[in-house]
Amino acid sequence: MESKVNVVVINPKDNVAVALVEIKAGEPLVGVAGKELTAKEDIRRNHKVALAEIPAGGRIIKYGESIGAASRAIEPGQWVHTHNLKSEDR
Amino acid sequence: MGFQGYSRPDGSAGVRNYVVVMSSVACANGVVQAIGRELPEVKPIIHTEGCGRGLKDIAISTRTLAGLGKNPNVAAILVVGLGCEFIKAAGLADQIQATGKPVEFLVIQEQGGSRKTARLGIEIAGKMLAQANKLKRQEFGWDKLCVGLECGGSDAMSGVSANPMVGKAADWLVAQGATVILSETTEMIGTEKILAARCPSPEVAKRLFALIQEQEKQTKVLLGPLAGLVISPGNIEGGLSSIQEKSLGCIIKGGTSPVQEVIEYAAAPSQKGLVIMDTPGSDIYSLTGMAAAGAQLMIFTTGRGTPAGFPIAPVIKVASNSQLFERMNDDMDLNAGKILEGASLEEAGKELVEFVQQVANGELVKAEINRQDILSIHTVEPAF
Repeated sequence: MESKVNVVVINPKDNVAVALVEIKAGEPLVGVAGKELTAKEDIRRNHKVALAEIPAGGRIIKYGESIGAASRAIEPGQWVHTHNLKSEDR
Repeated sequence: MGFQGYSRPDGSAGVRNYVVVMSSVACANGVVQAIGRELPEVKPIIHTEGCGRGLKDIAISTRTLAGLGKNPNVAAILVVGLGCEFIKAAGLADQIQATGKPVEFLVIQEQGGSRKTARLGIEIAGKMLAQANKLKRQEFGWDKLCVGLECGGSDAMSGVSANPMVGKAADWLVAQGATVILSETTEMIGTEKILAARCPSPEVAKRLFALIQEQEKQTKVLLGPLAGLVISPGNIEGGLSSIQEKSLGCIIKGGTSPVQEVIEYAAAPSQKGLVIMDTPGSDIYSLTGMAAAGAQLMIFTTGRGTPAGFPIAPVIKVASNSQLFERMNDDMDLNAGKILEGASLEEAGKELVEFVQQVANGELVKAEINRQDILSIHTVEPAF
């Protein structure tokens, strides 16, 4: 049985996806084309989860554009938010 | 293939065929409404402006009212003025006449009161209706269509489902030669570099950059300590991590096309493709500005749900989630919520394009069925 979609990737260039439901650590991310990923930590609903390795200082891409830089290295399946994303210019 | 519209003498194409009765000043609203009661087929346009304002606001209101009269969805128009106001009925009629469509005006003080003016207005508008009803739809290319984009009553999913779905349709329309207006300068704060990089002309990029920065300054002055709700750091609790992320979720509804032009509120675009209009984020003001610029149709995304429509243009409502689509089905036309249930963005975009074509061809949207005819003209200074 196919599991229900739990993340959305908005642009194919994106390295983060949006959680549609509360995702627990260890659960698979369903909705990412061509990739098998698992949540490394709990992801709250509407929050972001990394789809690829992002080095410290690397761009975090959503909508195909940079929404900020990684303030530390981020692994696929990790939660992405203000604790590891630094906004630019402001 | 394009759409079936109504041919206008200036070469433009209406997706609706309205006879409008419009007041040049708020004092004429009663007469406009009296004509509208007698002739339900007529579209009355009433508003709060036309007098008692400074030069900046008089210029904006004049441009807006003349622009609404020029909109291709208007077949013919009767302008009703009082007589002693700043924005004269004759002046508006004169500007609208440049399109070649039938235009008449009446002045209440000259006609000798409201009942006499209404009686005469009913006669004039009745004749206009008889003429307009003879027009038949004919085929036009997408280059004759101008679509305005709006989001309001947004939720956390607006930027995930509905706005990206509209963005797909916007890209398709631009590729077909249509004009698409992205509005709401407040929602662009933080994305000035991203948007400026999408302007083929350095002048347009410079103007856009300055416009968004000025809007950020103004927002800080207007909202004071509350400015943080609009400007950074985004909606932290809701999972938005930066102002760029929040604003990208709004501007994605314009798609990814180059930004051809930046226009003032209610000013007609001179370019095809994606253009940006400087409007407030407040929905009704923004819809009015885009309709005055000539948008014949508007697409409006919402997450919490809003019934708002516009008197002279269909407003397509796209719900960001299935719960809203079901709960407020009276007001919602399409459901972007299916994207959150596994449907592809491409498919959703195609569905919207098909619906845009049906609506352009005459299918009524929910806001039209509900007669959600709401209009507000943007002002920048106090009344006196």
